[in-house]
Amino acid sequence: MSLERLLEALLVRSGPHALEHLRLVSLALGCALAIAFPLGVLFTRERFRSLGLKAMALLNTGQAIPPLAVIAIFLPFWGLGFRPAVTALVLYSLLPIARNTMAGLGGVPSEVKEAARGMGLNGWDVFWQVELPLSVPVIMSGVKTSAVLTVGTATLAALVGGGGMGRVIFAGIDMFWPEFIIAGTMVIGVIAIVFDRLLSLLEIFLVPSHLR
Amino acid sequence: MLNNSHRIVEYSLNHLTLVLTVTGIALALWIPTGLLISRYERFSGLTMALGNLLFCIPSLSLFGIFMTVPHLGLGRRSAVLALVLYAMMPLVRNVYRGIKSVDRHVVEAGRGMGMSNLEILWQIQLPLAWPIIFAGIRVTVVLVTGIATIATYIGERNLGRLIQHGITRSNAEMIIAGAILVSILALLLDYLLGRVERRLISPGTTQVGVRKGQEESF
Amino acid sequence: MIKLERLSKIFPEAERPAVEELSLEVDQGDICVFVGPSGCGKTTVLKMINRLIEPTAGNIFIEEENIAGTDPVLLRRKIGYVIQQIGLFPHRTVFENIALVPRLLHWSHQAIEERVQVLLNLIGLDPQEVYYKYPGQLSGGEMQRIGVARALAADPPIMLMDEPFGAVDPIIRHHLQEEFLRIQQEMKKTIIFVTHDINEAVKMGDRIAIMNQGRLVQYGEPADILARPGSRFVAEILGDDRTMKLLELVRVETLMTPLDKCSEKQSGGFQDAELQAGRESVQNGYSWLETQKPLKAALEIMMRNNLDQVAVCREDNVVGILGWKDITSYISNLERGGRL
Repeated sequence: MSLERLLEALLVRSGPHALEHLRLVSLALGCALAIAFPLGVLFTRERFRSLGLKAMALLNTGQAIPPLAVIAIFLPFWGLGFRPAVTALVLYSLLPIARNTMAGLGGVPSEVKEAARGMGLNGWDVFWQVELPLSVPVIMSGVKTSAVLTVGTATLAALVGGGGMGRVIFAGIDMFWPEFIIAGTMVIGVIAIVFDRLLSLLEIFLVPSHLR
Repeated sequence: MLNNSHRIVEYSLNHLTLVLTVTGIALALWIPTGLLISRYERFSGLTMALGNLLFCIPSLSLFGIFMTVPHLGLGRRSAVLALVLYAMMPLVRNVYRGIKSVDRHVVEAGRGMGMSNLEILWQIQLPLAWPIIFAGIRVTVVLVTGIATIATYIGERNLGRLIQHGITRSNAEMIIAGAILVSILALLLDYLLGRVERRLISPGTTQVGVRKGQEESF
Repeated sequence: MIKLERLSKIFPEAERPAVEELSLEVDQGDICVFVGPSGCGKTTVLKMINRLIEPTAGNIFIEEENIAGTDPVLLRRKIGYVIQQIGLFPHRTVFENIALVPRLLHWSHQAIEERVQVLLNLIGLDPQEVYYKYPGQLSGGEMQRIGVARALAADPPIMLMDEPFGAVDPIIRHHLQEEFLRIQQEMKKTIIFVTHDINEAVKMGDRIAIMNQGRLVQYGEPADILARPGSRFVAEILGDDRTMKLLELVRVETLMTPLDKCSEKQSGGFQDAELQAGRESVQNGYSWLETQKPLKAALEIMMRNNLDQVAVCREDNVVGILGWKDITSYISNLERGGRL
């Protein structure tokens, strides 16, 4: 182990790749949230509940697909680049968000919803004023899980030309330089912590204090 | 093609033995750990934090770091070690949660009737925690099967290699074939574990079981 | 049989002792009911007897033996334990639940089978029907009975019962209480029973121990306590109708004047011929009741029919007469400290 090489990896090589990594993850996470949250809401509505259960089973089976394959799946069609990497990461981060959205909304006690309806709230009001506030903690924990997983998996984006910290780590593996691997991992750790903190701040903003 | 199918069999077998080795070691290591921290509560926070930390390290880094350690090197040993560490979080957490989920009144009733701590563990806590522990085992096996593909980059010759070659040659068929084979392996293991689970878990602890028991008793 | 001697329990970081200097004795075959508001320490006392909680100070003797020197696991196998939440093992069948302690004690399989049959019959459940069921398939009342049967399985001389009928609805609770008293008549176990319901305490207890804030405030037979509450706290616990509760405890035969000792004046309301002819003819069949009924029932008849006395019957014959005055003088006598 040489300190010099570790510093080189951290200070010189990591910078641009860390930014790429951030872009990959925030874009993927944003898209995943935009897709998974409405789907989760839809699938917990009375009319689509049975469909939701089937979708859940499908998503769970999807977990058996290895992350390496998910990352690679768009490569043969779109070639190397940022786009296939982000699209693959979106697919990868859907599951925890969708699952927790459904679990959170489904976990709101039916008597609370019934009481709200009994007081004359319509379906829209029940959703915005009762169901959503009560399930935000569960949904946010899904988003956090998804963020941490995606930060890690985005390492593989380097394989399909998506860049990111995977570039530094693969360089380390190819050269047999543990310094590069460790430096890359440290930066990824920092990125994961940053996402977790930011999402925690968002949660504090979204969740009423007495529910935390 | 014949040459290829030979290789696929070799990759599949390698993949399976890696997963089985890892599962065996992980169970032997992490189930007792989970039981211990559910008994000695003060260690639980630290242990779980460690599991979470290990789980958050990208698997590629874990493989890569062990690869550069003398005596581990390229190949199986590094792969096994990394995957066993990866399995810590889901296994320890589910064992701990499972034991903690057992209704404390049931435990108190057992203690009040004169069961020793070991009898309470074996006859009450473990059987009642089985559904949660088993869910953890199944998740772990599926997870390990998937992540094991990445070990191809440190010299494991398993199904991940199909995907790796597919990527370097930009060959969709190879990637998809690799994905499907790994998924089949994962789902197969999951299915087999499901069969084992049904034999191990008392019908009294599951809704399905209660219905089944009713049919039997009438 | 069971002797508590200056028993105290102070939980770490608690403001005041959970139990403080508590001493009392329970005789063989008695039901001793601990009653008091929640947090008064009654459950703590119970759990110290089977050493689920270790006392901070003081001693507990069971048949002259200090339990501090025994192995807690072996001790518990000799003491039946029933809790409000029942704590049946959901993964075990009814049979396996009841067989638990006998199995721990290594009884033979045949002996266990027989014992479970006997117990299921005793608690009024059909063995054929419930044997292989799981607790999740039973009703609340059935589960509670199985809980009692499980505690009785190894025929322990002592039973500890912590609000055993607290989780079922009032009708079933009444049923279970009656049934349990019936079983107890045969079993003659020594029972420590904890409840917060004074009515249950009066009904079940041979003796009642009233607790408040960790202290024993009064200990005695239900009738004595009802007649002479020792403090305002006890009077409040007993409620506004403690005399009526007392009337529920005493049977009419204990207060009635036997027919042969009745003077002309006492049987004044009734015609001699009426009395001789048996119960159906007494005041058109309305103003009689059986010897085993409580005084409260006699009062009820008197009030409803505007009488000041009723005939007491055993089977078809009138055996005595009970007057309004008998009851009131009994009460005032008790409250002055006299005994029956």
